[in-house]
Amino acid sequence: MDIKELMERAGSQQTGKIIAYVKDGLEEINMLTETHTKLERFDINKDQRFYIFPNEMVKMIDIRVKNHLNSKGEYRTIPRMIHKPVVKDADNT
Amino acid sequence: MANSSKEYAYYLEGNKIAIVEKDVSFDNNVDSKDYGPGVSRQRWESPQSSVTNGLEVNYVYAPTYNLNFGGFTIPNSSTQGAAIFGIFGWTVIGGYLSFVVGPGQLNNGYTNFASSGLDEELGTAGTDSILIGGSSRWNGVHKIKARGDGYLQTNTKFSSILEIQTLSIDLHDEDFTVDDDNVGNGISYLFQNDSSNTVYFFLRDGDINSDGTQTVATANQQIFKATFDGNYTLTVSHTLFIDTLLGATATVGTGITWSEIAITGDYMDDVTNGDYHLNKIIKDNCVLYGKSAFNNMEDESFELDLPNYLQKALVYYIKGKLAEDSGNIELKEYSMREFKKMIEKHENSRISGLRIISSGLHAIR
Repeated sequence: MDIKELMERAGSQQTGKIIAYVKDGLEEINMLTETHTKLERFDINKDQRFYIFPNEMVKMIDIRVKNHLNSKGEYRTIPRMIHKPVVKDADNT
Repeated sequence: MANSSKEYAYYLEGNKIAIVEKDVSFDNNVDSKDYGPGVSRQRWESPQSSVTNGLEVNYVYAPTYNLNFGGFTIPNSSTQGAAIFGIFGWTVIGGYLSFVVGPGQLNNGYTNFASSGLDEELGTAGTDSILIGGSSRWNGVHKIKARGDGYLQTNTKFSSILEIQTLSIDLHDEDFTVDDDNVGNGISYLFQNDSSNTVYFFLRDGDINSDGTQTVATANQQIFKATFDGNYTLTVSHTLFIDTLLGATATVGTGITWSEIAITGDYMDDVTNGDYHLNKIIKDNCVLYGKSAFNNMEDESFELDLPNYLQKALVYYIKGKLAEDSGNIELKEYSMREFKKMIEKHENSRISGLRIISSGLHAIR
């Protein structure tokens, strides 16, 4: 289905508004069920604690780190901490 | 070095993820109260070592674009129509997110994104968009604000200072240092948190006095890798270039993999009081797709990449939003209820048999 057909079904001729709502709707659908997933890898830097999520991310599924509890180079899911560690990051970046 | 087992965990702070690693190194400080044979620290700290591609994030995104290029496309080429470019990282130019391609090739000057030879691939500033893939942060569609020499400026606002413009940039090709004589505290401000970090930067043409642009010499058109002395001097160690074609023979300038080469006199010319912009680059190797390589959702012809059943659910969502706009709350509630019901049915359709919740491994039975 293209946007034109969707507009006809919804009974609207306002293209810009419908495209905005379609984008909202796609995000809403992906919050409830997972239609499109992506895997991104990025570098871990020594002494850098904070990393920024991808901008297009709607929902996080999993976080894995290389060599977590193994020495075979496997990526394994890491646990989420309930409490923040007492040792703070030096530069808070 | 062989892989060694480590233990990581994460927590969330704002829109950032904090990665911590368990430090189990022995405490050999005799002044420490924890000192003793076999005593370990066992505490969570920031990562103890750098790991290339060490962090893997699996996430869900909304499909508002479709990649559509086919056949063989040579990366960083201006002759293929549907172009892809290897991007080293990003910076901020004039308050807008900008992707840096730098020279790409060894000592060949910046890849000029402003060139008319790339009109077909990149399109018109202010009208067309590019797609970023493989980035740790900026994946998705960005509208082009300006095409420049060695960079592409997008319409995406970003509130961070990553550039300075000054009349005082000095490059010293005898010891490969770059400084600004601390005039205006430019470099010292830009790199104030980087005394112990590797940093990347590049130079752009400047015209601070509006008396004619001072062009960066070809040899100085590099992505420089450097260290900051904590004062106002950057000591360059390497320059970056693209070297490997995907799945084929290594060819300088036609890949999307970045390599570095130790700095020599071939990659830096001496300059005193250069009128330049100096941009700090945040390393984030990714791929830039030109306008012909993808379809963006911007008109009625865009084909939705959704399962058929969910396309019908989306119609209910649109009807619900339109009803809400017109003040018809009853119709809005009905449409949204149908929307959610269809999503639940879609979700259930992929699981055959009964849904069973089992008790945990250590539960009392």
